[in-house]
Amino acid sequence: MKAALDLVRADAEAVLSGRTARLDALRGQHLFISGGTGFLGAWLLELAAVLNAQHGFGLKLTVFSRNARDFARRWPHLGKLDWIHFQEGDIRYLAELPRDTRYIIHAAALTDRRLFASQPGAVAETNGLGTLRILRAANLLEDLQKFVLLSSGLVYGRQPWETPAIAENFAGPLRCDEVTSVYAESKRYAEVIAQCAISESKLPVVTLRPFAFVGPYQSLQLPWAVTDFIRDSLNGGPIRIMGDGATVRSILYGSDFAFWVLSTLVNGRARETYNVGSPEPIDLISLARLITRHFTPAPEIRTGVGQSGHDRNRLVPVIAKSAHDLGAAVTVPLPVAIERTIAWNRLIQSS
Amino acid sequence: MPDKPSITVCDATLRDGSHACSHQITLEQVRTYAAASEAAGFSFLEVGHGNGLGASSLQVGESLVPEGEMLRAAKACLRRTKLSVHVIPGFATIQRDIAGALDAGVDLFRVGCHCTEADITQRHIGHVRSVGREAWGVLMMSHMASKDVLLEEAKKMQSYGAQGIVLMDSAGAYFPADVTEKIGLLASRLDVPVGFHAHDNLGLSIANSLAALEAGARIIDGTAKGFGAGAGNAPLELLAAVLRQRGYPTSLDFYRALDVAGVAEKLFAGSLPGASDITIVSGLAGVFSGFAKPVQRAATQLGVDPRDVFFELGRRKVVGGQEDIILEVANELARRQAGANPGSPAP
Repeated sequence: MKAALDLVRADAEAVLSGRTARLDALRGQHLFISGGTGFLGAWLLELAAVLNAQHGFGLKLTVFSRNARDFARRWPHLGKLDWIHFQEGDIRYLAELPRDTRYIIHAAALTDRRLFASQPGAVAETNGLGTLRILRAANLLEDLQKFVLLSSGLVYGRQPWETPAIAENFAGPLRCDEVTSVYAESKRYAEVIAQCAISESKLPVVTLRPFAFVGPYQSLQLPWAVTDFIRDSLNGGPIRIMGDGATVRSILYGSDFAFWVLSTLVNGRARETYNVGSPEPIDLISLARLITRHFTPAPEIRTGVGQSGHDRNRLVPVIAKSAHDLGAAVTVPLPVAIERTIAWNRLIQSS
Repeated sequence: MPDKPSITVCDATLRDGSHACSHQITLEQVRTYAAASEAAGFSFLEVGHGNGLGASSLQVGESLVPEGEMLRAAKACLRRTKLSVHVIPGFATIQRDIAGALDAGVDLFRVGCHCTEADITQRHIGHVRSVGREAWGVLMMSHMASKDVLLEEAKKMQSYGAQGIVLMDSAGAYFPADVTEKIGLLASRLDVPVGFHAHDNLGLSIANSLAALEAGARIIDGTAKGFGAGAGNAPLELLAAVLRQRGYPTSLDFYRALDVAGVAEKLFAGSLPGASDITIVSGLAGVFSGFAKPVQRAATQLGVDPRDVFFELGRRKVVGGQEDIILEVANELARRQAGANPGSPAP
């Protein structure tokens, strides 16, 4: 276990190296993170731990989550830190925030794709009502500096195949007669609710639209391409790709994601929306090869195992605005990100 | 002829056939048949109790041979053909049954449920995928739900990680137009391959299977000589012929696939299903084919017409796993009968 945690700590240190000045405004501040025990939440805590331990930031965190106690027990190196307060609760019923909260990251949401088909009503309720609740609570704070709303790159709808990447002003079609649109629609609704709060109460809200990610702390049970491929490879394969492997994604490492979000707290302009993700496209067959090369023997990659009409699709962000305003960048190239993720999972499995 | 997609042919003889012989398949039958299935080149051979892993019980019938032994015996005979099991959450538990099947070398877990209850398959599908084996979702009694409901449920299974979705016509109640409509919608809207599992209560198993293939199914189930519940399944030897004639690529050795009929005839003589008044009524009533034997037993015991029992079960929309209602229905019919003929004693 120690080796796995050391790996993450090294990554957190690396992503902050030479860049802490961008975060100086956070010194001595109280951050409230909703949904702070997921993939992003864990990475935010890792970066905060480095900021406090090595850079004297004196951050104070409240982590609000339905699984706060379990998380604190599972990861005691974070759970036992006295400057992190874990608060267990359901975002739909959040009524108030700690009075001295200056910064809020609202990441609480139902993001598990399995729920989009099984419990779509719960997805709509948690992601919509939860956002409404926390914005109302935020409105009661005396000195809120920034509220970062984690939306989703899926709000763009279908990215045209011939469009290499999409910027923040892209408006694609979303099908509202499809139950599986519930997640994207719930995030669009959350964004609109945030716009209402800006208009009515002048809350300093910045919206982030995350794309695809990989890294330690990410559950391999989630049915996403990169997690599926890594899990199947760890189990000896084969990797099964529904289509011909031409579908395109871009994938950002957890430490870069977390830095991007922290930087938004300080450098994001209120009322603005930013993409969060790697601008480097990769097709699924190349992604699978990137993963299988870490295994001996290399797991078989099977393509075309889905229905014959399986569509190719693409989801890649333009990040020029994020790079300019937030200093966002990809510091961990995808091959390294994949290598680190596989190494972490092997260490966790063996511990 | 335009290129047609490759079809995965699943041999369910040693699982669905278990219903036809009251779950009394012997180890020798498993070995002999598995060798024939391997020679025929079927993609998967499904083995076990008719109701799947962990179902052997007083309620639905006890297997002659413990399933672990059956699975190991079959696995030892297979090379190209992969071993699959049917899994119904509730009968099958993850810790006891799926773990045992994993140890026995099962390659594919077909996790089934009543066609409107896909939610109950999440943990089982998730577990199988998490340990690196293949998992499909199976929607049973699919004639009872509309195409839109089936799509919703199939999407749930897909979201849980199912790598294929099979619609079962568990009651043999479909007509080809129903198959075209339902399989067609799923095939056009799901990412994973779609399959069809026919029963022959109305003599339409091959016609329905062909309709499924032409509507986009990539997986097709059958059993040798139709050895299966009720009036039996789509006979594999006929499926092989149809697939060949229609130009669908498969992994089959055609002559060896035809041979499985003869093997089944020898191995399961006396238990091979056929159309009867009971199975026809079962299909018309839309009742699970596996109910045929328990319905006949209850009807005989209580002196009622088994066809009446089937129609009443159909009216109540009874599904697989509710075998205990058979006796209740037969009993009620017997009481009504006695009431109509007060002079005759209740059986």
